[in-house]
Amino acid sequence: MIHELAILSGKGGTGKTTLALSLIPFIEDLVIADCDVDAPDIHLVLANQTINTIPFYGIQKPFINDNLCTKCGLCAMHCNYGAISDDIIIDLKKCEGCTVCNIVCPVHAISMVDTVIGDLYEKETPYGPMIDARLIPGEEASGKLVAEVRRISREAAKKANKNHILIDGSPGVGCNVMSTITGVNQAILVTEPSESGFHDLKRIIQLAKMVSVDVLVVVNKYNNSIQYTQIIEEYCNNEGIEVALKIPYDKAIFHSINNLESPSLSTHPFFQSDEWKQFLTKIQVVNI
Amino acid sequence: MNIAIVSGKGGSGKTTIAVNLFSYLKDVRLIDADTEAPNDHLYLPGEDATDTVNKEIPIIDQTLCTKCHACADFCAFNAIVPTKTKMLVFDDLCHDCRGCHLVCQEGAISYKNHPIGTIMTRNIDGKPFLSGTLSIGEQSGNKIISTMKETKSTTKHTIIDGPPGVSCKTVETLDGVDYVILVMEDGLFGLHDADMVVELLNELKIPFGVVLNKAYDHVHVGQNYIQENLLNLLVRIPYDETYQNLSSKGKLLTGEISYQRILDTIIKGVGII
Repeated sequence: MIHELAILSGKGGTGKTTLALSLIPFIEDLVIADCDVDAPDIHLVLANQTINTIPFYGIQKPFINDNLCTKCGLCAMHCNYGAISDDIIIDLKKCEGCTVCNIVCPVHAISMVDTVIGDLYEKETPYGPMIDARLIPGEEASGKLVAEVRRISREAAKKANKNHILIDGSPGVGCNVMSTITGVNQAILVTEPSESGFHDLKRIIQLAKMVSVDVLVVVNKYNNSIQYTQIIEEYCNNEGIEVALKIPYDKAIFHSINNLESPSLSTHPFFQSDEWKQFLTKIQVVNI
Repeated sequence: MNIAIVSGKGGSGKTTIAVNLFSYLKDVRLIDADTEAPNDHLYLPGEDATDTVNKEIPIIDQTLCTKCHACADFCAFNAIVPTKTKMLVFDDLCHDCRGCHLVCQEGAISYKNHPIGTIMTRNIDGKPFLSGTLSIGEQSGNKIISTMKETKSTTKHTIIDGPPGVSCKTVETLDGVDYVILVMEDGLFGLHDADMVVELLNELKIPFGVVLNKAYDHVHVGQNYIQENLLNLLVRIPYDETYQNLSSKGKLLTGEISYQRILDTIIKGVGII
């Protein structure tokens, strides 16, 4: 059975990708899925080769045949997203692809055209297949692109006979994150000890509960504020959630990323510590 | 002047710039448009007034419905699913397009309000501050963002603190703004994600300047990127533990002389008068 593990955070910049890169060398039998489609970063550090590029048609967008259009304005009146101006020019960036304009046009001047919202990439890495994607900046339907990355990574896992999928997610709690977390076996929620980190952690915990996903919490850069780390630990304790790892702030971790190295493969002492080894035993995808 | 603050990568420092710039300026309002992780309010305590933002979702009168499933066939978001006994509506998938009643021949579809989040309003030293929050389980805060931006304001300037990334919520944030402050975190991830924003801003033809944040002395990736791409560097903010400590506790930096200079430089670079 394929086992999916997602790394999420609520607040951005807490260290999701750094943790993903640190975990990857320890997971056997792995497929990597980078679901942070509007800021995909794993491929920057992990050596990889693109095997296949797949354009993703996530949405249908309207095109107006000016020869037929009578500028009657019905489409603009019905568009609930304000994507059609009074002089019947469509702002495709605002269009959500609902097709209302198409059905209200009395002269059938509007046709709906499949539109590419981003590209998916099937890649090979030293640790197994990786699927990632790049949303065309400003495009709609990014949640669908996330779902497609997950679908193709499951296919890749079946094909290569791999049992584990590690998913790196995007910040927030909206459509991208819901697409990422729904149906996974376990989620690791990465936070940082600050007012904002704590506030956004509570929101992603609430979402995980709503979709019934088991979570572990990781406090990154914990020594930046022992006080907030304690507040987070107390909160998690009351919620029945385990704080499974506390990672110290260390410039060496940042530098290893800029040197294109997985932090856990550098000589950094934290990744040789008992805390790290114990954490690995709690991740359901690590073969011990 | 409407100024949006965006970043690409999360955690680059949008919120810190937004709340401090807002506190430092006169005749300004602040909109927190990062509805999935709204944090500005943590820095700006005060009395709240809260309004609910709704979308309109279909209700299907089962006594009139003939189960022709024209509505389900029409819905581009799969929010209406036909079953043998009735049409099921998935509230969270509905995009509020109000199209399904147009295709229903029986007049069986009407609409009801469905809350998607809130807008909290505070008065901070006489300046308006609006903060949007998307409810957990809802897909999109775009309507919350547009509702806040449509709110009337008498202030000369509006600062909009945006979400990370380059998806539709960023486009909604950027709609109608005059200038963008792109906060770029120094380092590989920060500049890669900022690069996607640069692509979007160029396409939307919005003028922008870059704040290079948490700049490291020995790593020049950020600085190089800005020079190579001929971007307008507003200011370079070094990584500073004092700033980091105060910000993590929800405190403003406007009391720090060195930070006031940074804000002055940004204000001058953006051309806020």
